[in-house]
Amino acid sequence: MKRILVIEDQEDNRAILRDLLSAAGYELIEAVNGADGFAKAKSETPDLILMDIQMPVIDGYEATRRIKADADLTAIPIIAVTSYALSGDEAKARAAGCDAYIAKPFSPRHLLGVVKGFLD
Amino acid sequence: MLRPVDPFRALTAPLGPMSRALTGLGGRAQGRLFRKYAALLFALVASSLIANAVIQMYYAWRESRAALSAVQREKAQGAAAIIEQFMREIEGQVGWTTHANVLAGASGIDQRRFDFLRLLRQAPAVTEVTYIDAQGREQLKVSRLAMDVAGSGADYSADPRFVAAKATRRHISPVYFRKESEPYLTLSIAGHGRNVGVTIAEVNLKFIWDVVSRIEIGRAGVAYVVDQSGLLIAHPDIGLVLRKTDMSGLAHVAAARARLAAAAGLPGAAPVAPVPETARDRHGQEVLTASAPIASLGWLVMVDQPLSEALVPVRGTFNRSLLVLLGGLGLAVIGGLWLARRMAVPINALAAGAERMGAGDLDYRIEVRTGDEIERLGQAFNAMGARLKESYAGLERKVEARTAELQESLEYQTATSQVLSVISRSPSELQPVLDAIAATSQTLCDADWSSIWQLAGDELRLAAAHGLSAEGTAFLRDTPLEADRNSTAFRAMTEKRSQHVMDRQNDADHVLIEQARRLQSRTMLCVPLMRRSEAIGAVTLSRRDVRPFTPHQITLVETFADQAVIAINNVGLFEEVQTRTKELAEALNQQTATAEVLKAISRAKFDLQPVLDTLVRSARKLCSADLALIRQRIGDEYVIAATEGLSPQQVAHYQTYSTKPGPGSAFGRAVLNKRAEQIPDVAVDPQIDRPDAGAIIGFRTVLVVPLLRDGDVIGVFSLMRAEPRTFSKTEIALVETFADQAVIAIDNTRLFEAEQTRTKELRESLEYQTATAEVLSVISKSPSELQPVFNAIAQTSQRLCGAERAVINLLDEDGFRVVARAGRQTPAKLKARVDASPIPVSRSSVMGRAALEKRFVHIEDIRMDPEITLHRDVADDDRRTMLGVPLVRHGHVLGVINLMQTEVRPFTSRQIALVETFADQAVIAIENARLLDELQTRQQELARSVDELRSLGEVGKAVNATLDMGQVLHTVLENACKMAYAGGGTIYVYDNVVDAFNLEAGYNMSEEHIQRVRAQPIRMGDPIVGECGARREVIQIADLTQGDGPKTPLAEILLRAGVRAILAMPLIHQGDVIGALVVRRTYPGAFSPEAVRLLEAFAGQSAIAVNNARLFKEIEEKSRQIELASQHKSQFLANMSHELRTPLNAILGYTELMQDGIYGELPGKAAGVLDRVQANSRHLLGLINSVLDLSKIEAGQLALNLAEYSMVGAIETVVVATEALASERKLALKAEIAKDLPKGIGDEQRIAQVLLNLVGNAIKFTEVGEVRIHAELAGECFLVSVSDTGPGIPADQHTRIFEEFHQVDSSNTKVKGGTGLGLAIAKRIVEMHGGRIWVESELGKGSDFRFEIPVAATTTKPTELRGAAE
Repeated sequence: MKRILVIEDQEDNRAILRDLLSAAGYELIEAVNGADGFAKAKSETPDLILMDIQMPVIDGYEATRRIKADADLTAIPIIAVTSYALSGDEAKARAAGCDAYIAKPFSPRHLLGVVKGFLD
Repeated sequence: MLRPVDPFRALTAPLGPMSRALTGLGGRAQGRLFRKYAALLFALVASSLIANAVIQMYYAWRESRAALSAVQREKAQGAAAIIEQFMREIEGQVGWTTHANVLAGASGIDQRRFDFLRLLRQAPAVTEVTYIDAQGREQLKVSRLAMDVAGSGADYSADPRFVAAKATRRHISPVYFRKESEPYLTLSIAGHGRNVGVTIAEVNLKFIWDVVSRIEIGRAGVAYVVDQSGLLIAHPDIGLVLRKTDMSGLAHVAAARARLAAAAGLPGAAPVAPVPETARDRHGQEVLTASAPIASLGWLVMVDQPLSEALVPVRGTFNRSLLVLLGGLGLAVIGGLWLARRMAVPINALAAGAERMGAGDLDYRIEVRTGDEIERLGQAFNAMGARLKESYAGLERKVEARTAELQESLEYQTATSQVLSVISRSPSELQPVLDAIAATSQTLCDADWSSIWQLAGDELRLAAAHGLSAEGTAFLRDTPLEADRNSTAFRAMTEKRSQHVMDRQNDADHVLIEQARRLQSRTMLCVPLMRRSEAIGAVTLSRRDVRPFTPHQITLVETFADQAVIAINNVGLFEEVQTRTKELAEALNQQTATAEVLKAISRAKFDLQPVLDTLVRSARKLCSADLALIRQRIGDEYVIAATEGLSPQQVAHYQTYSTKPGPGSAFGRAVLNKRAEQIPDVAVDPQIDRPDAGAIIGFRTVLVVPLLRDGDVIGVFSLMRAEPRTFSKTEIALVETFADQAVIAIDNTRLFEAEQTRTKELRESLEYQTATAEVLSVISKSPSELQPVFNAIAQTSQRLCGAERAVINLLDEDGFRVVARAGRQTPAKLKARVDASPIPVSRSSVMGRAALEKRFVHIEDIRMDPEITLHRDVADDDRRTMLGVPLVRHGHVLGVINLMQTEVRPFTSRQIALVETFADQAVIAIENARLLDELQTRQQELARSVDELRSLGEVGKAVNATLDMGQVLHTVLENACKMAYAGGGTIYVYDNVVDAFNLEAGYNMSEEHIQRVRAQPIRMGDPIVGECGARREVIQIADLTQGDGPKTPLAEILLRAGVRAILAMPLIHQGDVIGALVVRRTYPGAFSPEAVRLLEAFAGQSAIAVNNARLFKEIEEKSRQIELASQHKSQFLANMSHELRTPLNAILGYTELMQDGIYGELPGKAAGVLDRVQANSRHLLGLINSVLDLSKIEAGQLALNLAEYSMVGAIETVVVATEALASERKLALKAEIAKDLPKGIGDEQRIAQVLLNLVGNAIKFTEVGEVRIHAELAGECFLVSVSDTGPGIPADQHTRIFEEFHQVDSSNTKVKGGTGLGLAIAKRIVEMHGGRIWVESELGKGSDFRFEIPVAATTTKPTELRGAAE
């Protein structure tokens, strides 16, 4: 079973992802901020990471940079899921090391499609 | 000129200093050297000797002293030992008596007494012995001085002698003096064993004296003993002891005591100083001292010997040493002298040799045989001498040669000077000079004969010869050289240089050969006489043998030739001067004669009276008459012109006589007959008219001679005698001559006067003309200024007409005003009256009358004219004769020239005519000036207009160019001040909120002044500035210092700043006072109406500028606020949309999950609800996105993503996206796309967004019909239109619908949905592409939205990607 790390500070958003991805048969690991997310990534070594950008402690950009800088984790695909929907925000996320970008509000169906694209 | 040189002096001169140095060495220096060596040697030996002697003596002295000290010490120690021995013996003896007491009772006492007596016998020093038993009771006392006492039992138990002896067995008391004179001590000794008694012995210490007295220490030395306390115990002088002398005060005694105390180990003993070897004794004498202690007693033996005595042997040693030293010094002197002499002698020899050489004896050789450096030096001197001698020889030869040359030169010079002296001696005669030159040159050049030739016409004539026989000279004189002969002389003259012929026998010309033969001439020198490059003769020298002349001689002859020329010149000049002088003298004589003649003539001519006076005086004297007179006829009268010998009474009487021709008087007869008439005696003449006349005047004989001119009698000459005596014929002839002279004189005078008059008239005319010319020149010089002209006319007319005063008055509306005065000062009161007010045109004044009559008015005496009343009442009015000439132009009187006299002296017609000329000139000048003035005024006006226009232009430009009010106002003010000729100005702006005029601009105002003005608030209605605002009119103060100036603080400030005149003008805009323009001058005077008019224009400009500035300020403020609000809005919207997305994410997410059945199957109705939830959420998201887009665009955050795109593709995408919606609403959706649309550059996504919006709107708002998309290429742009068949849009909405949050019908929104932002966003996107969007529509006819964008769009404004608007 593939494992997905969700790094997201909003409980609602985590719940949606949890419900969506669990139903789709993925194991979910959750982290509530960038620092927590990096630690979980290190300890759990997930198959995919969904990364919110605006978070407390360490934001998504920084967390992404750290994960991508880690030789053990650099291969894990990271999808930015963010409400930074302005033009240029996607470029910024990709510059930080994200492999895909989904703007909020997202369609769960669309997101699942993207996730599946990475994992299957 | 060379000076003969003494060779020897020349040679010795450079040697001077050296020779002097050598001389010095031989004399003074010799002694010095000798003395130096001698002194040096002596000093060397003497110093070593003295050092030796001193060292020796020092050590001798020290050793002697040490030896003496040692001797003394030994003596002291000896004495000390003896004294100690003495004491020990006494002690022993006393001790012995103590031991022997073994018996008790009386026998014991006796035994003891016996012992004691024996003791006294054996020890003479013991005076008394006492025995004390163990209990301290006296048992026995034996004394030399008293009776023996036995068993007295006196108690001694507390006596220190007893107690101390009991304790220490033996006790010696301090010395004491019995009877205060003899030194004693008490010796107490206790016996051995227990319970024994004590023996006390009194010891007389006088005994010690013997000891010390015996010690011999020189002659004056003493030994003495002192005890512990320093008291003298024993001394050879016993008196001292008996006087209990205390020696402890002496330094050496004290030192010895201290040493003793230290040796005894007494506590508290001071550190021990060594006992000095010398010290001062009681008498202060220096002594050599030694001491020895007597330890057992604590005494000291001191030995003192006076140093003077002690050192006697040492002194002997000194004396010997001194003797040796003196001897040694003597030897050193002798040795030094000898050695010095040895060294100085050869040096002296050198010096002497050098001196001799220096003095010129170069043959001298220095003989020094010392075999050392001095000898070498001598040889060097010798060598130098030899070389010098050689140099001398060479120099002497040269000097000789020079001397010879000099001699020659001297000879030549002497000769030259001789010739020169001859020239100077006879400046006017040539011959002696030429003779001298001929003689001298012949002699000096060693020629046989010489000759000098002068050019005369074509020939050379002999002028002088020397060395020839008389015959030879005559021959030469008689045969002048002809020019055509090729003679040496002519050759020299032609070639202008000396000719030197070696042998004339070789001459080609036979005549010359003949001459040479006759004169035995062989070698010849011929030098031309040159005067200014022109040959005037020649000098020849000839020798009878062939021997050439030296160049020197040729030069000499040339010099002589020059001198000859000079002499010839001199003579020529002299003659010329002589001639001139003679001519001058002649001229002078003639002139003197002429002058005398002229003087005589002129003397007689100009003044008749002296002539006549001389005549009568001479006639009376020469004719021995008593009375003489001349009467001159003037008209029919005969007036007395000159008298001699007549008293005034006689003259008066004479005048009463008849002057009728007739026989009744000599006068009558003479006039009648026109010849001399004589009455020998009036007393007897029967025909006489007045026989009494002779008696009254006092004459008897009378002679009357008529003065006749051309047969007319013009006067008579009368001579009278008191006695009757007839005038002789000679006398009559004389008088007739005098009469003729008188006639001539009278004629002359008459002619002269006539001429004078003519001359005067001429001069006057000339003066008048000159004056006129002068005035004209003044007029031409100052065409614009009249004052100089008037001044000139006044002065000239006054001067030329001999008037006392001249006044020029000009006439204006008020009357006459004085413009120029000349001549004497007008009296003060009259002047004051005249200047007080204009003089009216009336007949009461001369000028008034002249003006009225328009012609000159001449009144001989105004006091006689009743009409002239003006100013006649003035006290100092002095006018009498007056002339008034009017200045008339075209029949108008401009003024009057007045001339006046203070006495009655009428002006001549000429003068009047002259003044009239001046009047005409004045008129011309006035006219000129007026014309010029007019011209200038016109020009100025023109210039001013130009200036004004330019200023206004500038101001207008400034107002338009900038909104900076300060700058505009300054420009306005500067121009206003310049145009109004104001020195400075200010513009105030009125603030109606606080009611104050604030200074906004200042021109030519010092900072200080500005501060002062600012410190003084000006309110509406305040004087000047406030007043002009309140009254809305110009306020002007011509002079602040005058009474009408307001006395306000502002006025004070202005006055302090030097302002005199001020003008304030309100700035009014739309009926409101918004400020004031103030200009000021530093001189008083009102501003002209033109200036005020101009300032009004400037004030208008200022008002506009102030108002503009106000408006601009308001607009600026509003824009700023709007900008801020807009920024806030954009920011707010960006934040809002972002925040809204987060919850929306949850809503949409959950909805979709629920729809997808993640949370289980939903009831059918719920599924429908969820669909609507989702639809509304999406709409909300759309709204949010739109808002976000718009805010991003407004915040400048939206960037176009320019790339190549296909418009066709974009349209197709939109069609696909909206097809479903259109079919749902049963609308036809059509796309008409022109073929071959090119690829464009732009943001495809955004363009699609625009299209989507337009198509979406069209579908939304159209109920029936179709929506049509049309695209084509229009020039450089794509033109796209989206048309529908909807309700249409009213025209007034066509613009507004592109504004944010605006829809055609707000009610529609509720039905149709939409944010109202779509078009606004579309408009912005199109504009960002550089295109435009618009709508063409009518209500009920559908709408056609169109936009065009450039095919190749470029970003129109740089948009920067800022951080996300969070």
